[in-house]
Amino acid sequence: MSVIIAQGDAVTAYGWGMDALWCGLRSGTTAIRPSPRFDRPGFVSCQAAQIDGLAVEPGESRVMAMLRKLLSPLAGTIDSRTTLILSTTIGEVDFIERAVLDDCAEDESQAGPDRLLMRIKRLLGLNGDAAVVSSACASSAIALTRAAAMIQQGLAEQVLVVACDALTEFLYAGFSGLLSLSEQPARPFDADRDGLSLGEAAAWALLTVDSHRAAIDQRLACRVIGWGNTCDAVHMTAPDRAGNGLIRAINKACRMAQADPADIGFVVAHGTATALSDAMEIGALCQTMPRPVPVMSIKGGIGHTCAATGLIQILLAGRALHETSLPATIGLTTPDAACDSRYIQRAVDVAGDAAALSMNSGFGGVNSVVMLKGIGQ
Amino acid sequence: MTIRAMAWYGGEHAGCVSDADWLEPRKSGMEDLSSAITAAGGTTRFLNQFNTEAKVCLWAAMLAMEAADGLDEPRAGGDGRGEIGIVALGYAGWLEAETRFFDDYVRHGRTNGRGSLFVYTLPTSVAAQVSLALRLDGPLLHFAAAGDDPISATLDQARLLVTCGEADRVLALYSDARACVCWVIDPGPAKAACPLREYWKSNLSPTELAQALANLTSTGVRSR
Repeated sequence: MSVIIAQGDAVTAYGWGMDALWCGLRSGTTAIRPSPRFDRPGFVSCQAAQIDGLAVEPGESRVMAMLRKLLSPLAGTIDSRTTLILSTTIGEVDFIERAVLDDCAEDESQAGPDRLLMRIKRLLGLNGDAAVVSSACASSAIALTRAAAMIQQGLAEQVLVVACDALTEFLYAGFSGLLSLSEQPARPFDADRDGLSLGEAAAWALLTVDSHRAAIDQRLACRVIGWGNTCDAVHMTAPDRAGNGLIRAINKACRMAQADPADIGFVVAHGTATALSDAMEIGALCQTMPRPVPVMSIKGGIGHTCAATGLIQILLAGRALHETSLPATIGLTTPDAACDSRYIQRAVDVAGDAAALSMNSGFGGVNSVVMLKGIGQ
Repeated sequence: MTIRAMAWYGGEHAGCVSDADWLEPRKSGMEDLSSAITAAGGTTRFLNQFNTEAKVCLWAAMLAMEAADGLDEPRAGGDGRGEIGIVALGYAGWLEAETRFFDDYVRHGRTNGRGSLFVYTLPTSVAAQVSLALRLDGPLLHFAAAGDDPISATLDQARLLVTCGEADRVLALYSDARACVCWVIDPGPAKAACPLREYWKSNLSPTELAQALANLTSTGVRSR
């Protein structure tokens, strides 16, 4: 049974909507800039890709402020029985922050993702099954694969995947403490890359069986033709330098899609701009791709948006298949010598009938690879 | 497709049952988790970095794997185990870890977070530690369903990973800081239907469920 991504949308530091993201990435200008919120003496950087002017209501979390505006237009337009999968890593962690800073245990109890799930169900008037899926920075990619599996096995007709993570002091302090942040906007796959930039985003995608009568957004709709999820089981934070877990995930996705790596037209990579993670991806692609294919990362433009990044990459890949064009990696000026000229510095044309690959990895050694094709292919 | 084995650890009580032997628990309680893990032939990789919840889960996972492994032929894959995935559920330990990290950051003047605490603030942190210790290289995720029967919903997701060919076997972990219940799901035919389902449909916490299973097996499970 074929699974399609019928509709989707996102908010990123470029603004509200996929058009804003597409135009932002095409502009070649990063949305990462110094943020006064994180300009603290102990932090190694203050660069961030945040959503300007986000209206957070009293008692509301930052992710809920994003989701309220992003999802409200969906209310009443989708079947109330639609299954909901929420994907987040730290969710409404601002409640934990308030609980600690104000010494108020009541706030802490608000932080569970199950609460956020219920808030989204109420916002959209949904009464079907609902669950939270989390798997570090591969969270929303894995959530999408769970949605696709449920549809493929006849357990659901339509699944709404919602992904979100916000820029908070909690998140910034954590990545700063790990010395993962660059002092300047992230430069994925660059020879001089020196760390990631954090961003915030929310996104949603509506998955259906291909025979379903859900409205199709022709600007990004695509088919999910395969996926592979693995774990390195090597280190809590660092990737397997040999890239074995990611290689297995790519191969699993190809097997499920009954495709050959030679069928892949382009790759939207995780591309965090950390030395080890990018090197691992480069190595895995070199070992699996029989010929150089265009590879890009969105993180030079909108930063690392944690749980949301996978779904945004997938929506972008769908848009690229429709536009037959792939935006460049913003921030990439001197490709890593190991890159084999695959990592694009300028937008390139891609074949609309090619397969696209979106890849994510995260803490705990998780890897997720999703393979897509255009809706008419 | 079957629940091949179950194991639990709840402080004073630990035990495991398999679908060939639902009637009798195979292990008694263990007080020193680290010693128990190494004595049972478990890994010492990173064990000194594990928090209590991770050790509890590792011990339960080892018991469950042992109960399941006694029944099966070796599988495809380098070590004959095939790809084993993990699906975790439960938030208790995670919210505690988040609070611990941010409280530490605030107490130290909000200058910089402690990376060694931050890496354990994800819902998948405990499962990742178990995966690391047991070298489980299949899919790893946290799945928490809303509704009346969240444990069954998570076990269904574990089954789905096997059905879709994404893993040869999946461990499902339900844990808090003190207790863990672990299920082993694999694609083989059931030797006997698991008689314990009613216990996890009652929305017990991990500690309560482990205690209920311990009480049950001390008096003998009636399965057939």
